Amino acid sequence: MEEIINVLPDNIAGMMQRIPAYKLADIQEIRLRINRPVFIRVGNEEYGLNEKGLTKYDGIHFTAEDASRLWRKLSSHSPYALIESQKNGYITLNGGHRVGICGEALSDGNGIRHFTNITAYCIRCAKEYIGTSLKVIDSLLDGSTLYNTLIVSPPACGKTTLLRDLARNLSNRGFNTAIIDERNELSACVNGIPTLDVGSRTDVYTGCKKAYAMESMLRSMAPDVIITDEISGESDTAAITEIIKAGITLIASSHGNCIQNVLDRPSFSVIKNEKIFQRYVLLKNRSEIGQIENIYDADLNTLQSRGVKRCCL
Amino acid sequence: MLFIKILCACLLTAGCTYTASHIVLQYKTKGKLIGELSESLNRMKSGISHQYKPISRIISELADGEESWRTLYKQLDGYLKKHKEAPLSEAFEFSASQFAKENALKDEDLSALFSLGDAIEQSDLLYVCNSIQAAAKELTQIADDYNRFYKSKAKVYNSIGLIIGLFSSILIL
Repeated sequence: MEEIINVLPDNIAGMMQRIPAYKLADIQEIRLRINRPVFIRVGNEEYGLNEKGLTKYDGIHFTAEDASRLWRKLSSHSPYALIESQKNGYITLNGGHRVGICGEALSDGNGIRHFTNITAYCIRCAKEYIGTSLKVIDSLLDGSTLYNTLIVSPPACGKTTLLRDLARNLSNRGFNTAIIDERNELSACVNGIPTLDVGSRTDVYTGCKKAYAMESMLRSMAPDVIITDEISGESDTAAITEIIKAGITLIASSHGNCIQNVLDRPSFSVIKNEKIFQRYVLLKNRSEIGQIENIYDADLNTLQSRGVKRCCL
Repeated sequence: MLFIKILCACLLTAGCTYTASHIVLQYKTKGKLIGELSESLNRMKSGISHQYKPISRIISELADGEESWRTLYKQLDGYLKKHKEAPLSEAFEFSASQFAKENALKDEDLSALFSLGDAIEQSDLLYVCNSIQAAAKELTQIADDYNRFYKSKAKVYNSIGLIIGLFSSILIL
């Protein structure tokens, strides 16, 4: 959380420091929109912010001046150095925290060039929960063989946290693990060295497109398993197919409410038709964040039931 | 007595010549300083366009060392570390103004630096690089003006100094 407080405007950072440590550690996200109240999500509760810390009422508003100061601190006065981040729509802080940005963009034929006015920020706090993968790991292993697995959930339900812990767990069990961390969220590398525990046999490739990084990892690091976050688009799915056909196990995640909906996306047609994944893990925020809703096999039959026999039925 | 008068006349001649040359030498020193500042901007542009380095890092790198022009970047570095939320334009204005005072330069000589902060805090890399290049060019132009002035006036000033010295010497003798 210190990394986040360091980039916030001084007035907001001061208020954040009034929040008790146990609540501070539990913050999921901070939403800042110009001329709108500051919203802070702690667990499943939403709060405002004032001089006394968290509040349910009379929270402060985020001003245009605050936005300018935040942007200066985030970019270290050098927005030009964040062109790629602006194109992707987020900036990754030390510690793996992700700052989503939104506003008025300048685009050309190839998509967004950069933002001319950033009017909203969504700061998502990276969490490291050691042991979260213990609930699923037995379902993903068949003896010493690991199944290709896709973790599916809506945003902010703990996909990245689960992936990170799976990497740590598998790595410590003897698998040579490769993390393709395009957004630097899984490993939170600083100068290329992971600052979060991703295991003792884990190699991390950051800041590079997944498709290229997978191919490179396959050639150079001979991994047993590749772990990557938020696959989408045909280049990702094509690379995944190649990797799996090369005999490497893949564990990946994707946004979605339901496994079937994810597989029905046009870019996932190959994955669906060839039954690339043998296990699907569905996460939801019901009673707690990152709750495992169900684990399915390649035919979408449930393995670990919460009363549902088949996905989306 | 004559010996003392001759000694005084020689000293006076040398003093006048030295003073005249010192007056004109200031322009050469200023030209050199501004020319080197222009070169430092080219290094800044290179760090930005080729390596995408953040400006704070480039400023820290430029601040290392003892050359006189580096005091500008030392001031900038110090200002940015102290005022993390301040716009870069404020930091450049403050540091360039201080630097001009310390080196007896006119504020107009460094006007290119005054407006550079705003330009660097833009997202458009091409715009940032072009602005730095334009500022460097402007500084080079000013440095050239000083050097040209020095070259054209050096002989005149030295001659005037010598003539004044000689006339004074004659009067003394």
